[in-house]
Amino acid sequence: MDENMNITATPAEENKPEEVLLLTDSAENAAADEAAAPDTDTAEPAPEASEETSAGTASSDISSDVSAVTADDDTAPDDGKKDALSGKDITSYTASLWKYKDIPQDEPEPFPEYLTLSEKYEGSEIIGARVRGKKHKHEGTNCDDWFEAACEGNITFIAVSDGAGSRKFSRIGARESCKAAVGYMKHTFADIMKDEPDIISVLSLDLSDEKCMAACRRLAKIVQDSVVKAYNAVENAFYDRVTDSRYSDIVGRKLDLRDFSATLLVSAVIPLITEKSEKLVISCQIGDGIAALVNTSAEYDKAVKLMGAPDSGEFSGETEFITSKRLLDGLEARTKLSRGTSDLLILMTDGVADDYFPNETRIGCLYLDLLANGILTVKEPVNTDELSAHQLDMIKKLPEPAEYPWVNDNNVKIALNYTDELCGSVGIAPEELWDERDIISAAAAAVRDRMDTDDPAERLRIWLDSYVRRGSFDDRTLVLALI
Amino acid sequence: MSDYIRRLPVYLLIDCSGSMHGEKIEAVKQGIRTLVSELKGDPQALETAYISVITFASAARQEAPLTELMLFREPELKASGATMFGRAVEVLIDCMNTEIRHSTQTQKGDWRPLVFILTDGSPSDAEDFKVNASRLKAMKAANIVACAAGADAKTEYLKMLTDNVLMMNSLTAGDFAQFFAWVSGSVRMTSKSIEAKPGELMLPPPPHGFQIVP
Repeated sequence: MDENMNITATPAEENKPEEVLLLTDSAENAAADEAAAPDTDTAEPAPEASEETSAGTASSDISSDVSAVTADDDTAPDDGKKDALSGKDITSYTASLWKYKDIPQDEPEPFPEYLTLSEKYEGSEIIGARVRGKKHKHEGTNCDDWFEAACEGNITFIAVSDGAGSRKFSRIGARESCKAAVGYMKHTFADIMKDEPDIISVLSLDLSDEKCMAACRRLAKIVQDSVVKAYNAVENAFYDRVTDSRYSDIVGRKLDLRDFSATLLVSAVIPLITEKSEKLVISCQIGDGIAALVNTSAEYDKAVKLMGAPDSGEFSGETEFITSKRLLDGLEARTKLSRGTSDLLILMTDGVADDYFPNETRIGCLYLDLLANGILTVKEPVNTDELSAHQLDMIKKLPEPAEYPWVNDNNVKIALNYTDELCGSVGIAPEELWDERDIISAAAAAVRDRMDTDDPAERLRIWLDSYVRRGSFDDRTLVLALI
Repeated sequence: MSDYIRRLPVYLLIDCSGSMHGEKIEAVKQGIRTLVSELKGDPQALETAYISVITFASAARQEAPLTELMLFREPELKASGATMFGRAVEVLIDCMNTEIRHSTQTQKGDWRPLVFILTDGSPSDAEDFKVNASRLKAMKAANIVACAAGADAKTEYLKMLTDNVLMMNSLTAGDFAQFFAWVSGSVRMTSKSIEAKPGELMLPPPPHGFQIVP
């Protein structure tokens, strides 16, 4: 970290002001050149080799944070009208109106209600879950989200996908694209590791070294190609089913490739052999959803780095899908590379990402919610005897976890913590709570005791399945990679 | 902060000209009451739908600003005067320009608005109507459904606003009730297929006695 504090950021205006390239000092020129001339002779990405822990953007981040948070507070809930209702007024009312209907078993390829994954890989620990949204439960329709994770040696691969809500078989597109993308990355990285055993050493060279940059670009190309493979897999899935009347009967016409529309977000995490044990993270994305790196020990304002920009339209819910073949021509611009010491990579579909918007400033609250609900734990438990009087006072002010009836069975009440409510009761901002991990631990204990499971993926599943936010009823997928 | 939500804006443009007087306007009022009460039973609509009513007669005005479903009160509607439909479309455009939130870097936009239009005649301000109709269509800022109530309603005008035009053949109270029941179904279906791409408006089949104008 100390080293990072000396890092200078590339002046944003020099190249892409909206992207804010953050570079390690030594690599500044090399990567700036790269960004300025992304179209070298091969179809290579313009790697935004970046250093997410850099102090360089601190000042601009802080100011934008503050303005964003203030604006949000002021807009509740609508246009400042005095007689407006709070989100909680509405959600307490609608809680009992949400019905639960089973997944239809008469449709081909029904998807399971839940997916969870709890794996310790050589280079990471994966905690993942995906739950059927309230909307789908209410209507008795399938969940359209999917995710996959795999490893090759100490390299980790993750894919998440969200099938288009308006498309009947989008869930198949979601599953097939995730499987194809992760499968392709795994075996292609395996080949490259076998053929070039020193590639990790090359990647670990200083970023100003052209050999390192070339290696970065080659791996980025593999990640991009995995998206192309995903497209091919979805196309194959379509051709496999196009003459099958069980599918066409349901849509009431001939199947169309777009019936398999889904977003795709893929990431690869490659541990490097550097003094700071850095990781190279490569992400590529079509559609919405968010990949974010978190340095959990950095300050709130500097902790989160988004690993891509979701496609979004003029209105909510409008995005791009992998079935739009033209998008495959622009994958370079959809690829992000980051080299740094972040210890958590989060991938999520829009069902979660939309609840933490604007993502730049709110992903930190997502991390706090994960801590406060016992899904992730604070690394070093602190002796309560060492707490200050002020901290003990804050713990005293912690609210009871908020209970809502479980959609699947209204008689079961699920109690969860909400960062915004914790902050409200204790009287501090999320930025301050971020530094009070002991307070969060104390809050988490109350939830964890009720969850009755030691599996963090299971706790993640319960939380995803039951946290309540007004207007949030989509499928939710969240994959955490502790790297 | 947690109160921030993405709304599904629903605009009702209602013809309150003299020809709507009597049983018809009463049926419309009842229809709006039923619409609101049906939507209040639907958790998705409750969490997202915001409703506004714009009327047009000798003047056009927004009777109810975009209001959260739970707090929405039906405006008192009276029918008399001319059919300043073109002016109403202008009011709709103004309201959408000021009320609708678009996606930005720091703000999630609303869902694409839904506009339902009901008229039993043709615009008294035909020239204004043509100008504003093409403005509205060019904005592509909403999913619009127009209903022509009875044979006097000129569907060729409605076609200037949207490709989704319905024709209501008879004008009994029951027909109006059916129209609003269908609107309710459409709002709920939209709030369900909310991820649909622009132009992929999914609506329930029109009620019995209604025709889709090709």
